[in-house]
Amino acid sequence: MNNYTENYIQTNESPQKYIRNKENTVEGYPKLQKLMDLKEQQLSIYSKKAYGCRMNIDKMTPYLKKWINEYSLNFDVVMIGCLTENQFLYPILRSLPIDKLISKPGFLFIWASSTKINELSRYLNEEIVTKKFRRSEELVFIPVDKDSCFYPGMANGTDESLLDKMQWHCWMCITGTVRRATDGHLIHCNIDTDLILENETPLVSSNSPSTSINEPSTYIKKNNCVPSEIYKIAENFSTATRRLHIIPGRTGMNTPVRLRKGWVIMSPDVMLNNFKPKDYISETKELLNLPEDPEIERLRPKSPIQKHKHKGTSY
Amino acid sequence: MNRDRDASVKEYDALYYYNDINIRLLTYLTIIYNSKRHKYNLDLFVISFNEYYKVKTNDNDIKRDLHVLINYYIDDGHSLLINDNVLVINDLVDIKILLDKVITSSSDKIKKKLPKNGKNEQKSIAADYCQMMNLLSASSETSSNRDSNKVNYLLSKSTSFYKLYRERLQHSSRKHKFHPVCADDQKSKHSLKILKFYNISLKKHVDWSKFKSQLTSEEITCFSTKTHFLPILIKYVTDIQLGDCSYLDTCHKFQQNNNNCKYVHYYEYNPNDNSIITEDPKTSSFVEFTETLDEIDPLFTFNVSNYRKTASRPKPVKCDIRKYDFKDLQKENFNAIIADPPWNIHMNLPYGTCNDQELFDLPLYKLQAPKINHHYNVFKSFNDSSNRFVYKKGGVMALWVTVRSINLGKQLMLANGYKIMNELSWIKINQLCRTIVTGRTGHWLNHSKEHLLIGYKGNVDEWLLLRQQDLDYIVSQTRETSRKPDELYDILERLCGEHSNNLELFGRNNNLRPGWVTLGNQL
Repeated sequence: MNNYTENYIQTNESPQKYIRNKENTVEGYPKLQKLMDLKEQQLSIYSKKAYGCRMNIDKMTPYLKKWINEYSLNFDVVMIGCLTENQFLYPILRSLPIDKLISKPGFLFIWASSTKINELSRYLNEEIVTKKFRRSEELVFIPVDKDSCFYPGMANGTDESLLDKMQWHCWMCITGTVRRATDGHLIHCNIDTDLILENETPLVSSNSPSTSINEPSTYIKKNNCVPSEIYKIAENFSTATRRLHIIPGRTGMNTPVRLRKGWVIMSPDVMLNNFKPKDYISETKELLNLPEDPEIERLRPKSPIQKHKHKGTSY
Repeated sequence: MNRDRDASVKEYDALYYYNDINIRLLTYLTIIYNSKRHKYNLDLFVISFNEYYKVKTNDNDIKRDLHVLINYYIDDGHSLLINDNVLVINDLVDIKILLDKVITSSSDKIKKKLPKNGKNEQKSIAADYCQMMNLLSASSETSSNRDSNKVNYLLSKSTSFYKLYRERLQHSSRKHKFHPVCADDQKSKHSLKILKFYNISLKKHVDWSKFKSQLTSEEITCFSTKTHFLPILIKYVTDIQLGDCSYLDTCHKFQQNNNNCKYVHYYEYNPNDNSIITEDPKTSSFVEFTETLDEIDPLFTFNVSNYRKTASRPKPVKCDIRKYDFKDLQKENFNAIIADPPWNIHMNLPYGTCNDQELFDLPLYKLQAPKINHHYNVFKSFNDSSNRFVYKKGGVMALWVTVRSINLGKQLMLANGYKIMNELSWIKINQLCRTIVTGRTGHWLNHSKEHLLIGYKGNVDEWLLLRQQDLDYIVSQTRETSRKPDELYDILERLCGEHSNNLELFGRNNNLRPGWVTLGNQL
């Protein structure tokens, strides 16, 4: 068995250099591969439009509050934060009535550096619990190496840190009741894992003409303040179509805020400003959840059917 | 003339105000804020403020502006306080938000005013604003951002301490053999070629340099230096369409009889050992004389335990930790502690679990208790009543947690006097060096990693000077259920010193290790 930690000390080669399924996590599992492809196809069929909502950080809460009250605007998936420092996470979380913004059941993802998450954990916990959310999973993102645009850098490592920090963390929280075994129309569990490794596909500037969409395996990644895998986890997990991403910070030119189909992205730097709450509600009310696909149903991992009902541990 | 100048100076000064908020003051607060030291003598604050901006603002004006800020603009009244003559900054969140608002709205004002007259002084004001903007948006990559880039660059450089320790570590030879794994084996292109020349059952060494006519030179170097995984295809049994077995080399069915599992298994082909550098295991550990002729403190190998050899034999102690008297352990000065408590995760497991209360009742606070050797009043002259304690020792604690118990783990460590510094992830890989993605290992998502909280007690600068050598994740193959990777021991020994005195709680026989005292009920 190789000791990649020792090898790192000796040669500075990062341990994940030798992980062989970074590009395609489900390599070697044709059934899972098929499932992933089908999910991607289904998503691309039903998510047609990308929304951007350009807004200063201090305006975010007042506007969202207004929209909740005036149009009863609701989202099923809300993601807060991205992979940059200088985010005003706590002020947003404190002032925002997330419990009213997110429908029930609903899913909340909070992304920040490991230091930030740790610093805020006590306060966040109180906020989250009082707003009736349960912390369900802890996600981790690790950049390829220290030259990656996602390297947390010095902003992340305080001088007192005992180890060299590379990670980004995410709290995945759930509100309302969903059951793994019975709510297959709402959630698909155990498709993705709680770990995302950045792959080494070179970053390509946005004006490069040859971005081949036909071949997903040779897909060229664009630099972005949010790696696409992070969106994908949320999309693969919840079948809901109303998704909001709040980025409470300026992100700069190296990590721009790109749009993604099926998401409303709210940030001071988002490249498009086309979100009107009224129109959005009328456009999305037709289809709140992706329809059930028999092939996906057949392939996706499911809870084993419990034979003994007397054991009351229902999942 | 003079009067004119005074008037114009006042006009420029007005530019530094937004309504009644003093923008310079706000900026200065963010500049001086330092999370370790957050109390400032008010008079000194005023002097340094004037010094920094090269102005002569009246003391009372600044104090008034401070009070305005606190009374009208800072939300909760905790982040900024003035007690007698001491300014206390507890956090910067509110101040930064306020500064952001103020600068965005007042930079418009500056733009309007500037074109009228192009004097140097005004240019300097504009530059001042740029600087303020940079403080807020340190991530934006504009050209005016060079200063903060420079600072970032300087701060990101590693220290000589770091470099020298890494150099020293690299002089000690490897403890483990390392076979690089081939990463370009797309669709088993390489391994199928190897199979043409190599017979798995015969295990006969192949000299790849003989096949120059049939293989490219890249293939020859790759085959003779890197590990490949050769698919074991059994006629009429293996079904390639099904893909790889989830258990691979740990598949019980396959181990019983190769015909029992239809999924693909692999044989690990390591190139001949002669072609890669081999190290003699005997010389692997770093040998250094324990006694030097002169009593000198080494400069950069500062860890006490690095040059003083202590207990070397593994010491198992079989006990029920919940009832164990920690008095005996209290006397020892452990450098590092690993604990892998059996958190109750509401599932049937092959071992007993502790409930949360039992874990919180453990007297962990007795361990690594820092000895307060002296304390003094840092702020004596500033009328501050709080005492600062200087700790002599302390230690590092590493606690394995599950997703459910991350929070409990943090509470447990905080309650016992530890400060949480790192969260290490163990990235679990399988035989084929792939992350584990199958098997419904978590409730909502599959789990490819486990979490370890790392905290310390005491003053790190006093003995933990060799930090940040290791990354905050381990990539390592899974072994028996709940057995953790051995890499952690090396990481902690690099951190605390090679001959450090360490303790493991809830350990098992496979955790026994020289230099470590192991406590557990399964020993």
